Amino acid sequence: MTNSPPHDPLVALWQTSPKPDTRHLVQDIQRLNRLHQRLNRSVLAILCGIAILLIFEEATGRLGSHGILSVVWVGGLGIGLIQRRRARCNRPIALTLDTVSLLKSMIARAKNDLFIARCLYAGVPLGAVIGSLVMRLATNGAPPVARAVSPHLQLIQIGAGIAALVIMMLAGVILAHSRHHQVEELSKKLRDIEADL
Amino acid sequence: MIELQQIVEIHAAMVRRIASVYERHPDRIDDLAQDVWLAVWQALPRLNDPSTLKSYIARITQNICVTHVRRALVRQTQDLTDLLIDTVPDRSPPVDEAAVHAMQLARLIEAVRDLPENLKAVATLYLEEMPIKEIALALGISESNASVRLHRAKSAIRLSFGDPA
Repeated sequence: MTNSPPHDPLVALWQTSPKPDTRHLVQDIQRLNRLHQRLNRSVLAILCGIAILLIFEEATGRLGSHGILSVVWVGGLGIGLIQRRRARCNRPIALTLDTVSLLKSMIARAKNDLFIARCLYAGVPLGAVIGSLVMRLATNGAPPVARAVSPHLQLIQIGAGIAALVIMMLAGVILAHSRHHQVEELSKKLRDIEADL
Repeated sequence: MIELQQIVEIHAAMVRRIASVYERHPDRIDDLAQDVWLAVWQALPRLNDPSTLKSYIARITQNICVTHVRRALVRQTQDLTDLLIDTVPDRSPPVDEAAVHAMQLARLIEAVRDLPENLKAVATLYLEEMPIKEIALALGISESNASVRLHRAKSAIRLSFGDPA
């Protein structure tokens, strides 16, 4: 029982399954890898493009945030890149762990993602409301600043701001739903594997 | 890359067998196998002892299958029995015998698939001829625990074959 006996009919039957066609498998894996790399580069190019646009807008004075937005964006981009690189390096190590340890680490990561997602859908509107209140309090009593922005453009800016807020909240809700499901599934699998006999 | 091609040719059947325990639909089994091979390719430089390659790949396959939760699992859109009968090679024994053999194999896969999660992993690795020590290591459980689970899994499989022994 402790070792796989060579004459176990079940093992013999299991080993007779038809051999799959592997002629194109390696090419498919290479193609998949190239696709992943291309997607990563495209996302990086879009994010860098936004950073350049922000820097340009702030350098020309069209955005009155004095470079704060650019610094926050570029900082976030840098942190994201570092985290992604770490995750890519850790993935092969994680996959060779024993199953129980792997499930535990995946549950921890899913819970972390769930927290971030909750911050997105709950924290973003809360932050926007608090920011708006702080701005109102700060400018309360101060003389109104003359703005050279047309009402039409102002409307577009407000619309874009609200759209970004809604998109972030939606992304948060979707991510939270997915991660909540993942935490439940993984925890169930872990319970099943760890179940006492 | 030639090395990977050789490894794929030798172990593709094992990866597909393990994947078929966790996924029913043939297209999704292919996707799962592709995910496994991509992960194996990335993890291959970290393999210190080439003699443990089979259990290394089996462990990665097992881990990817167990954590395969993002896609919808086990949809009964195509009966595996039909699929196996279709893929039985022509050079095998006469048609009737091959069909019976394919039916038995399909029943075995179905029996392993129906096992509870804690028995399924042990049974799959045992059927891949992994010793109990490696099974215990791969799953992160004790050897005695793995032995008991294996005994239960084999009893359940035999019962589904109509053999109470």
